[in-house]
Amino acid sequence: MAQFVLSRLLRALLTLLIIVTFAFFVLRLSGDPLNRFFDVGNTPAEVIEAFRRQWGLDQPIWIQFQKYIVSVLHGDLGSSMRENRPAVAVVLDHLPATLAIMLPTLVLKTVLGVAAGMVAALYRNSIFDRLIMSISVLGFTVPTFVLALVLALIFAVQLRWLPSGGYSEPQHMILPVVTLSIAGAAVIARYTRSAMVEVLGQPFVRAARAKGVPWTTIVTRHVLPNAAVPIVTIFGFMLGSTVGGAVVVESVFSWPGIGRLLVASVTARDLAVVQTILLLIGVMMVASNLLIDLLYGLIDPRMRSQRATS
Amino acid sequence: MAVDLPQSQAVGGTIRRRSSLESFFVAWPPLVLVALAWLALMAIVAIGAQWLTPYDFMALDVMARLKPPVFFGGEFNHPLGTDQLGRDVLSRVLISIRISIVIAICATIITTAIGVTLGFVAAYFRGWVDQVIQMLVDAQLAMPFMIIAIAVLAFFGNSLVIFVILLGLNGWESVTRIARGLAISANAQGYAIAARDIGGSPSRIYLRHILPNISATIVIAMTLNIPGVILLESSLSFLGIGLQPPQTSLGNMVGYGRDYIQSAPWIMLMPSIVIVLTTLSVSVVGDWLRDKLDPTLD
Repeated sequence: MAQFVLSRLLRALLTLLIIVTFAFFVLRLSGDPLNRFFDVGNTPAEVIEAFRRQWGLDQPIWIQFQKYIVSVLHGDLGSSMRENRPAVAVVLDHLPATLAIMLPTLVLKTVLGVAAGMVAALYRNSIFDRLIMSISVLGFTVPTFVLALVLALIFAVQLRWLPSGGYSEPQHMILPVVTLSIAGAAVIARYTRSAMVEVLGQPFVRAARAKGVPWTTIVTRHVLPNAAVPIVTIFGFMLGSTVGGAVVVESVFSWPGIGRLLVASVTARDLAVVQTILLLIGVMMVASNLLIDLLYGLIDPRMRSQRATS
Repeated sequence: MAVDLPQSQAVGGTIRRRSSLESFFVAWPPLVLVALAWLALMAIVAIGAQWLTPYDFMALDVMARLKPPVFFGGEFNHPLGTDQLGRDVLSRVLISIRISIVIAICATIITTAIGVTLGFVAAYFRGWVDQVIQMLVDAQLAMPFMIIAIAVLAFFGNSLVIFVILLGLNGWESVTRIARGLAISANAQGYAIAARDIGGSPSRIYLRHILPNISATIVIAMTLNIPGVILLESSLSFLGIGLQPPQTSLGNMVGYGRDYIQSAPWIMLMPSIVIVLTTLSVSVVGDWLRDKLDPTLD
């Protein structure tokens, strides 16, 4: 088990390293940083030379990379050009707003999705199943911005029940949360259904029925635990995309979270902020993948023994 | 289909022979036919957009601003209404369909080329090359592509070429995994061994022998990639960091249409409907192709 945890940790670190490397090279390839500070043609050569030396730009690229890694490890990701303060502080300021809609969404879409997927699987080929799966296909193919705008059109513009955008009151959260939950629940329902259908066809379910175990006990004690792995996998992906998953919805509903900050920073070419958000999302994804990998071992004893032998 | 064989009748009529209409609909489900019809329409629009548009898609007509579509109080000279600058929504939708579809197809070709190449390289060299490629696949899976795309657009700025190449990087990891798996199993098969034994070079074996044999699966993977590209392109254009005006795409139209959601909802609804129907049709057809040609793929 210890070996397994270690190997997973190592892989998570490697993935993080790839993401950091990607951020570094994209940053460097996007042009000489000098151009962002000077009009290079009209600046004396000594000034440019001094600037290069001061910021280490005269060093070979791999030494620059080394320094970059060190500064990332120290939490120094540069300053936001728009707000003239550390990019990390700017990003952290926007984090609560994103979490305020993403955490309720995570709960709501998981409950809705798992429940709908279970109903669809248990009443396979019934009208419920057809209905749930049709809605789920729509959830896959309707882009979130269309869903968000249609909901805004119905509930904010036509019925005037809810505000169409803003941040001040709790009602403002409803439309973003509902939009994100519908889209996410569609995906979870589909995974849940196919996982459950597969388990329901297993001989041990038939055996349990044959020896007279009540149906609810079969579902809760035999089917659900065995169907848990794919469901947990997709949940892990959703958990990881908590920070970055609301870009479109935040900008539709003018929600002042990370997603809108990202779009605004891209438009203003505020590179330090973009890079910080990129790394934050990467860390979130890698951490939740690691968590899920470790969870597998808890849920499914077979995975533990397989790993011990392999 | 086996039911239609003459032997089944000879056995004694326990198996009812399907009428030709019935077997036609079994082979071509109505939903798939509708989806194919829609895609055919989209293909026609993409090819002939310039002859189909009643107006130039950039032509302004300030006297006819925000006119509603026909049947909602509008007139037949602008069947889908006009936008805030008096541009004909139908013409803009038609041109946008062409641009969105061309971008999606170009991007998917790039995706497939990258995916198949990396998959074959991994399958041929195995060892550490394989490990590195698998690690890249894992890293790609760990990051939502939309975030990467936004970041790259921030750093490199935007042009049509960069945008298409970027969209072409979306989804390569699933093609790589499929191509790698298929190539490894194909390597052990008779035809590949035979080609190797008579001295075929690796590139000849992979490109002339293995590729044609796995092409059906690759084509399905390509089809299933297209809705994702359309959604990504329209989302980025919607956010205003994808295709830039005066170029127009479906997402772009929805993006500026949302400012008129109260006074002129048709500006954003028309392109939205096209996006939804198109992605839906491609997924229906893709799923159907997969079930028909290769049930092993998921």
